[in-house]
Amino acid sequence: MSQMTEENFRKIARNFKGRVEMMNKTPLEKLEKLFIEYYDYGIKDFIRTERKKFPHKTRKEVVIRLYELHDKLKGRKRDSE
Amino acid sequence: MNEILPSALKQIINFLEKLEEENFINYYLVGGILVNIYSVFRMTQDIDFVIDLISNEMNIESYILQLQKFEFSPLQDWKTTISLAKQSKIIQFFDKQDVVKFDNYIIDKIDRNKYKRVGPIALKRRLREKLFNIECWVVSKEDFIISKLVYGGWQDYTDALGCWMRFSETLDVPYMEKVGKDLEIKRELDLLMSGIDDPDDYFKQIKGY
Repeated sequence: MSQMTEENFRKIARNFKGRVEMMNKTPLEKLEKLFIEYYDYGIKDFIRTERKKFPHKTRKEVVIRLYELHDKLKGRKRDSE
Repeated sequence: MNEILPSALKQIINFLEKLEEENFINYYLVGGILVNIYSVFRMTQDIDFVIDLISNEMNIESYILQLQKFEFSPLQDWKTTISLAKQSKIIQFFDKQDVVKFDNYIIDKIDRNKYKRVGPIALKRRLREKLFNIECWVVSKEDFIISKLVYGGWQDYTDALGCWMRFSETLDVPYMEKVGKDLEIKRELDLLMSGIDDPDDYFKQIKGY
């Protein structure tokens, strides 16, 4: 492995090549199981936290807020391109 | 709320398969839901898919009526959804539990901008796959890469690079080169195929910083 510098630390930490290799060696069922667990945890946790902070909000309003944040993080909306 | 995503996926695939069988409306899945089979693991929140209403002359109102019959849920109300869909050619709605959002791209064969041209091109080569144990139509690997390069965000380049690095030996490269030239992404495609192996390096070279 090359020495870590200010320029390459993200590349080394990300280890994209290693992740590609891992994908090729991991059965799809395991990846999908992990995906489902993360997804369920992420959404449920967001709804729980948000409803604690804003008890007057409906679940649908909370979920719309989640997707607004998600689109903001993605940095773009396809329809505006 | 157990297994939120597979449940929503099942709802939408049941709907789309029925629509295809009864009304000959073709569809295919795109986006983050495919990364497990095509690229590198990451999370996504929504389910994206493309639908071809125009080939069988179904209008947006009739299609949205079908969505209502299937008890999908609008973001605001269906009237607003129709109005937005007519402008943007995208319909956004929720699954029956009001948790998972669908981004429904409508194929537009009149608009010649490259973002809209990807839809009909990819439809011709859609494939049957199994996702979360549900059989459905998905975009091909080649068109997955091409559409990601057309959209051109950091995450898009990362997904495209992951797909190329995983499957370069089996991809139809002449097809990708031909379509890539037509859609003006030759530079992005050449760099992808050059042996680059990190998304930041790729993004920096394409965007020039």
